[in-house]
Amino acid sequence: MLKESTRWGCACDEHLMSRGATNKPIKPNYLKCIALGLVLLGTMLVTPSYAVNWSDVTMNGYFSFEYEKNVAGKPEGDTNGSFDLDLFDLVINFNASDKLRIATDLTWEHGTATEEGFGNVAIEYAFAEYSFSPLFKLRAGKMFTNFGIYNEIHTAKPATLSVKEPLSTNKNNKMGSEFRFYPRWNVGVAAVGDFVWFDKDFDYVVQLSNGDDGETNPFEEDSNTSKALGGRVRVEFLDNLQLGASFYRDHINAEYDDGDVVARARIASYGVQANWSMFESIHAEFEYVAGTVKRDDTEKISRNAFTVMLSVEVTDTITPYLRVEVLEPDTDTSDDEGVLSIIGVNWQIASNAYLKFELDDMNTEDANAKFEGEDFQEIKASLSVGF
Amino acid sequence: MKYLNLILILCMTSFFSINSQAEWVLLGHTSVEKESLDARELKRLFFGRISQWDGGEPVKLCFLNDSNALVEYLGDSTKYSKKRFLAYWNSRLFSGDNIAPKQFRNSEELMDYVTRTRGAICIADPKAVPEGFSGKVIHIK
Repeated sequence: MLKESTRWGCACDEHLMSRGATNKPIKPNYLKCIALGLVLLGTMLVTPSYAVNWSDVTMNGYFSFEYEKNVAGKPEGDTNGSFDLDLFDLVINFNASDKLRIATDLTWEHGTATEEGFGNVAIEYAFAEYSFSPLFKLRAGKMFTNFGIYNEIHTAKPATLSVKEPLSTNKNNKMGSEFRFYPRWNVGVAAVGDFVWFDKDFDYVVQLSNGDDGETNPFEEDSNTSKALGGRVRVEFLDNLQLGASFYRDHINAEYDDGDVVARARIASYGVQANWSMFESIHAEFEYVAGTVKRDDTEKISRNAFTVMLSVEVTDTITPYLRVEVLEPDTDTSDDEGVLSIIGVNWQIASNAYLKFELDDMNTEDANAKFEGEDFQEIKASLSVGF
Repeated sequence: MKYLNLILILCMTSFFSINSQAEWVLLGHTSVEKESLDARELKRLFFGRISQWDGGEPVKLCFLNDSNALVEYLGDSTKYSKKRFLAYWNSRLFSGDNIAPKQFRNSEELMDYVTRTRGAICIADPKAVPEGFSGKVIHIK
């Protein structure tokens, strides 16, 4: 191949040289030049690239398919009964070196079809992590906000027992709050690590980011000079008891109701969590979040929420669960509370594949901004597979 | 006193017999400097809390998926069922926090991986360890 290329190359050179030397119009041998180009291109394409060593790359992912239907009560939720290709995610880790990792989660949600404007394609996270030691790793990029039990796994359905993550502590804007306790994602830097203290295993994360706002793409540009600060620490207090605490503070730019005048809103949220295995097969999970929102044009709002979940592994594969979620969107408003009660079962049908069935009962008070006292029940089912 | 001694002997005998019939074994690549680990260290390794060996090399975990070895290990040393262990690692992997242990469907693939991958440490079925295994068997204190 090398000889062949060289010979073709000489032929072309000779051709150009002869034209220059004699200054006579000579019909160039374009075919040879094109063929040479194609051979060079082909050589480039078939030559192995050393940019990626595939032994340093791991690819995983997950798939989730859901069905929801309102079965009783007011016509809220999904009254028609709908199948939903919830998501297909690829999780890729590139180990650029022993200490440097690039991690990303690419998602296609709800049967993405960009030509039709359907669904969502997104980078859930993409960050570089440099490991100085297990105690101190530095991350930079787009990340999930590390808060509480569920935010980082809210799309990772094979990681959770229930069909969806708790609304009251994670998607409180879908249950009567104006703002979430914290944004799903952020762009910035983070320090993470594991350490042992007083003979207990701890892990921590501290994130400094643009935060969230309604004006710009917060993953590209901050709309104000204030940076969001968040963090979480967890400890294996006992072999069967994990405790944790989180916080998040940010200033965001929000619009007044009557137009484009921008107000600043200060959000502060705090949370505690506990996972307890009472016996080998009985587990309890608790999360409490509280915080305030203060817009320049309104009074400060205090809100809080909690979720409690109990699950029992009745066999190696079947785990029924019961969860109660409560949201108090504004502690100064007496009748805006929302309560969601869920009873369900998680059935592991293959190594990392799960069928889930549940009944969700939503009860809200009249002043609840989302449902206004319109109580309803939904059935939900899903198939989630991790790979 | 005679009966007490007898009971103690029976207890000790049963204890050693349980250990001698262990249903799981810990294998490592020859680059792994540890000759033995205690239960706490092993748990910290297999739950991703220790991600680097002392020399800075990344820890690479693996286990055999369709074997009782992992279940036996979890039952012996942790409060986790296999289902909860998988959920734990699903959380760590899918949140971007860590790279999950490799899961193999047969012992041959696992043996090949652990003997060829620097930093690898795997829970395996002791019956599947071949004669002349070129990796390292790590003892549990």
